[in-house]
Amino acid sequence: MISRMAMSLASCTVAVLVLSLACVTPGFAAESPLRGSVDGAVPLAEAAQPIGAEEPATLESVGEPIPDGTADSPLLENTSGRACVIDQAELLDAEEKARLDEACRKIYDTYGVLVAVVTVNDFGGGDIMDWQIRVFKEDPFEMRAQDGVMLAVSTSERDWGIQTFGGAQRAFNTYGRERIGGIVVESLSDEDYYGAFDDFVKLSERFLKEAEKGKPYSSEHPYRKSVPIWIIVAISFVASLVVSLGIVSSWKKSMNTQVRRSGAEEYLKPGSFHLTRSSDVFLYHTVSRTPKPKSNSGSGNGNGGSSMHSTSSGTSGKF
Amino acid sequence: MDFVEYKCPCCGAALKFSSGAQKLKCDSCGNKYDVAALEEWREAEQDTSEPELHWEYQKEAQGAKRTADGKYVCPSCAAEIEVDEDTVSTKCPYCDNVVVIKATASGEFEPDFMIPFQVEAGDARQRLENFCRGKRLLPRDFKNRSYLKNMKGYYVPYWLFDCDARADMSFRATRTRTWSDSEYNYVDTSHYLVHRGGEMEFYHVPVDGSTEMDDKTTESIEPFDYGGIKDFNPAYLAGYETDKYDVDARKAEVRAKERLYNTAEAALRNTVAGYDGLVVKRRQMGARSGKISYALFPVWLFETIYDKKKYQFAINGQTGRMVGELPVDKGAYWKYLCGFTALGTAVCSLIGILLFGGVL
Repeated sequence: MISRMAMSLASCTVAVLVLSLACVTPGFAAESPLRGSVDGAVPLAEAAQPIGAEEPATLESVGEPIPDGTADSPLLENTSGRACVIDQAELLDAEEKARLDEACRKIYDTYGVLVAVVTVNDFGGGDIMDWQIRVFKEDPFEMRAQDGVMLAVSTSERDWGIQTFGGAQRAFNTYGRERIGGIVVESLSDEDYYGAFDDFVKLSERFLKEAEKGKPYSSEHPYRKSVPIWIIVAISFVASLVVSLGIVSSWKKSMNTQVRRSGAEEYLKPGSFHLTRSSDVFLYHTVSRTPKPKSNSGSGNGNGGSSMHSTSSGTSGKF
Repeated sequence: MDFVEYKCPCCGAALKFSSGAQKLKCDSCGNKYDVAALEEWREAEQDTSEPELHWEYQKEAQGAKRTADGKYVCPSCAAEIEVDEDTVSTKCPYCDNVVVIKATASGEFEPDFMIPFQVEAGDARQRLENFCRGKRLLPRDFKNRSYLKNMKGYYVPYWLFDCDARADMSFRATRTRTWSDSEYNYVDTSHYLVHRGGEMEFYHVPVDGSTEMDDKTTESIEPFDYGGIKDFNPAYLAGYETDKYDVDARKAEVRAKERLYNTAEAALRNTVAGYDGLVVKRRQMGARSGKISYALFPVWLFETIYDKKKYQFAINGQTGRMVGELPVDKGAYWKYLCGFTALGTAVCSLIGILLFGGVL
């Protein structure tokens, strides 16, 4: 009997927990992370294609004809040797930059994919994704990587872009880039640059890990933002406490079956009740009105809101 | 000549008769009222008294037939038995014969009706054991206590109230309509005065006439099946304990009225429909053919004291309905609460971490 109660307790509590966590987990119930904010150029359904069906983004195949970056002055100057993080816009302090760089190198060592973060004050206009391709070709990172994913941020026009190269497109398909972009742009909009880059690096590792298992994230296999363990434990505790209180209180209630009666319905002779008077008299009416709450839709966060659009190998937008 | 001042039901301001509209008009809030509606309103406002329900009680006219010394001789062994003045029947301590104390079981205290026991002692004991079975919060040492042996069959004195009742009630009712435009939400509330009157017959509404019995207990074991009711016959008392009433009919009336009012209000309320809000403004109840009867109803009773608190259990001696309050083992309560919470937290955290913690 107790095991049956424990089973019902567990199932009730699990149901409450799943519902609670589903509410606090963005993208769990509805996995389209960019509701209404993605340009129509490449619909999300594209990600439903079989893995590898997307055209791999080689340096020659993506976007407009690529000018040879080496012909003019280099697009990015890197004076610190091999580095995955080039912060020309100086959005990071030295310690933050070192931490990110170390994380990127570990990923490169593990997966052979360059995860790069680039910031500039002004990338020169045009499409930031084309600029990223040229940067990758110049290889200011001195990593000589063939496969990579790059997050670039230009502060003057508040542009950002995620571009993939070579085999990395398998892990960072359109769904993946838009999902990562959707998370990263929140921190960028708040001007939490380190937070944005840290999220990008960690998410990149997560996406690469999943791709290595043979099931890269896609609309059929969506990425779920992980919930901190303390939140899971706290919700589990509260849900369990509520369900347990319900069970034990019902046991306690069953210990007392005394209930005082309020009426005497059982002693009313059947069919003896009949109405002798019935009238409804209208007296007056009152009308009250309350102002409707004003909605602040369309004002965004003062930066004009964020936007995003995708091509076959890159995703970019404003923050 | 008396002048009547009509006040606005909405704002309380004085009303004036508008000859053009042929209605009474309020200059303060602008509402207009039919004269007939105002009359009904005024009637409901003024008549707020709740006239008493009156029952006739035949027994009060009869004289007392009690012995003075309170001692009786057992008809079986001729031993002298001492009983207190409330005792109607008892067991002779010498020959174990059940003795009906005829002097008190007649006259003023002779019941009109009774329902004989139909549930056997063994059956009652089994019902109590079943009631305790499966109660995880019941203290372990309580189950084996002597209360099971202290079970007694007991005829509980009840007053039965009969009447043809007339109820008249007024309600303030509201009906609301809402709509919106681009800037405001509107609520239009229409106010009504609703009258309902009805007649109904009540038969043998029981009220416990013993202070020994907890009223909550005696009402919980209701209802009795009046199909089995019989005229009082002392022979049915043999083998059971019986006390005369110590709550007189007039005192018991208070509780009877309360129950009748509640039932009448519920019956009349059920006839009012189509409103969003309903508040009782006035209620009146009167009774014709009111009659009070005195009856003895069978109850199996168990009493025990556990942890300095008295616990009373009762079984309807006719229908077998069991009621009572069992003690709660606080240690077991907290043990189960903490145990379930800990178990639930562990299981749910594990599942939550697997599903949402990024492990899978």
